[in-house]
Amino acid sequence: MVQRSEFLVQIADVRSTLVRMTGLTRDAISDASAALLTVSIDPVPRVRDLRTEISALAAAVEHDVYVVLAMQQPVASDLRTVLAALRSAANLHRMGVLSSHLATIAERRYPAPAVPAELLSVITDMADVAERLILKAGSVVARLDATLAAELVADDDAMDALHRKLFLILLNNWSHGVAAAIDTTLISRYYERFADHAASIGEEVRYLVSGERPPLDSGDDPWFDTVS
Amino acid sequence: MIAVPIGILTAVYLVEYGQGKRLARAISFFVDLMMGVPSIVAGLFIYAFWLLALGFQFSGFAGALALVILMLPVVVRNSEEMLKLVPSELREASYALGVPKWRTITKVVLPTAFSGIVTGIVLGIARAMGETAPLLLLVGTNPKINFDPFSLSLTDPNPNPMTTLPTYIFEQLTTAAGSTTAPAFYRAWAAALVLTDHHHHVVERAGAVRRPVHQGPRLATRRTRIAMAKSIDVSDLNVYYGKFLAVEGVSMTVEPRSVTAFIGPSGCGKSTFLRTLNRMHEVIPGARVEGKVLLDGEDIYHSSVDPVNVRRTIGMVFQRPNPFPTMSIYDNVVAGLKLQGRQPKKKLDEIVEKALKGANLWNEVSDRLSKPGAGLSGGQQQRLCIARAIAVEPQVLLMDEPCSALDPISTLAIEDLISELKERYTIVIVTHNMQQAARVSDRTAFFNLAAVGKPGKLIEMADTQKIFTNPSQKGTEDYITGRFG
Repeated sequence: MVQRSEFLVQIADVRSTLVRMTGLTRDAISDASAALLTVSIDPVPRVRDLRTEISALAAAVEHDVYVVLAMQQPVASDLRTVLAALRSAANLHRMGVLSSHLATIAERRYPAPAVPAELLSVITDMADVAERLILKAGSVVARLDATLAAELVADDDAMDALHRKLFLILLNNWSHGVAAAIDTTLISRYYERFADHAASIGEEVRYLVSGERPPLDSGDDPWFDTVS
Repeated sequence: MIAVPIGILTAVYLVEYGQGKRLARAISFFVDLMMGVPSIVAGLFIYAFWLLALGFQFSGFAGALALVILMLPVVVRNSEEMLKLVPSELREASYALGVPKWRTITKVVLPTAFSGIVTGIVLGIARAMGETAPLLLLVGTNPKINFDPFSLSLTDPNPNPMTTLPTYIFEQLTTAAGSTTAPAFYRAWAAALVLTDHHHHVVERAGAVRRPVHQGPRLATRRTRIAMAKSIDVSDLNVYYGKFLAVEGVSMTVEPRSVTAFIGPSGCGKSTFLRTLNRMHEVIPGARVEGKVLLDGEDIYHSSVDPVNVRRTIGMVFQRPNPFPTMSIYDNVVAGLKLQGRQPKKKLDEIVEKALKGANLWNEVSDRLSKPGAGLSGGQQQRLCIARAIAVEPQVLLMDEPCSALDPISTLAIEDLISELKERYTIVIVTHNMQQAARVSDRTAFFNLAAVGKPGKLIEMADTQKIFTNPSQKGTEDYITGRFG
């Protein structure tokens, strides 16, 4: 006999909200990248709307978790689920905000491109990695797949490599002035943060499934990197 | 024959109606007195009263009367004890189904105490049978066996006194005059055997009495009533036990089709208040209420309202599972329905299935409906009690700590059931378990008392979520966070 059916429904609702948030976040980063790379401001309002919607859902997840904790006394995997959901929602919320920051840079430089031609390929790569990561994060949350979650944590390295590559270009023979240097640095930083939050979601799901956090000095610790 | 009904009725009076009354105390005193009366005194009493005062002659009937005097106290005392042993929970369960008191006594209390009462009767008979003295005195001595107990009465033209076994043995032995081969000697032994065997039989019978499972009960016709959840409005309710004010000034509204939980420390009056909502409170002598309780606008304490009807409309489930021990699972479910006349078996079958399904018990018991309800596990018994309560289609279901005697898994099963039942019923649940209130209820009322001996009061009532995340009263916050006492 299935028991506490109402509670299980609440937990399932929280999870499906999270899955929905990953979809919206993917749309947001995709639109923001398009605004940057195709030099267009058409997608910008959409990114802002998505960001608002993601924030509202994050608040809803937080509220639901709050109510579940106060009223249903979740334990064991149920407890890990609500804690992981709470932190994943916060990560997704930040990812939405970072997407809107990217769109804002595109909007501020428009009609000029925000990304100089020689950096276009690096930023395009970053946009691809970001989209791939949020897509994977969606699967990880939907399927609670620990293997995929571990992959997601590792995939973040690709973004870090691109971030370092961009710095090298900036430091050698930069000819586009300070403003462009600041913009591109921020763009690169936002993508890197975005990827890091995606990795954190992988970390949360890994914790949810296994019940264990990696040791603090492993370099994977989500607490060290989540502040952006 | 005479002693048994008088004895049982006296015991019923003493236990069920006479509590604390002067007549009951007097009867108890006389019963105690009669217990100590030697048999010969009983015999002399009948001799004086029946034979001398009323002018009857020696007869078997006069002897029987003396034996009645001997049996009566045994039967009364025994039945009384047995009736006292019937848990008051069973009476309450029956009242809560809207069963009138006298039917509760005949259908629930007496059957439950049946085996004990029969034992008492048998002991009484055994005592009477062992007596010789009053019979020697009243029946007279006659070596012949006579089957008419009334012979040698005034109207009998041909007097023919009756013998008693002891006399008979004595007579025959005298006739045998020391010869162990004389037929009379054997007759004496035969008589002695009959005497002891009789005793034996009677005692064995007592052990063999089984609690009967009610089959073919009187079935019910009832108006088909659609279960309609109703709201309850309470205004300014004071509840008293005699002069003691137990709950003071409670006003609240209970929404239909919702679960309302009452929480609070022990003695805060939450259970007492709950019992006023279906007038179960007044079952306790001296208990009364002031104020109004409206069920969909109708005052349940109005002088024209029969509490029995109120309890039929507002069902109740108790702390300890209390299925009727003498009844099968099937009969437990229809117990509340049996009282309103006949109903076709098919209809009852439907009701039983529906109620048991409603209580999430059908799958577990559908193949053993004729087995006693007492054979189920605690959690199953409690669900049986819920099925019994919903079988009469109440509009409101009151639950007084329904899970406190259950293990955690059964508790969760009941909680799930509660959240299903709220689709159809208005549910009010008293619980000591705050987490349970948080899990199952839509609205929560917190009761508290200022000090022991002070009346309990409603401190705060709000949506459960509000109570458990941001209560507006400090008292509530202190209680639910454990900063209490």
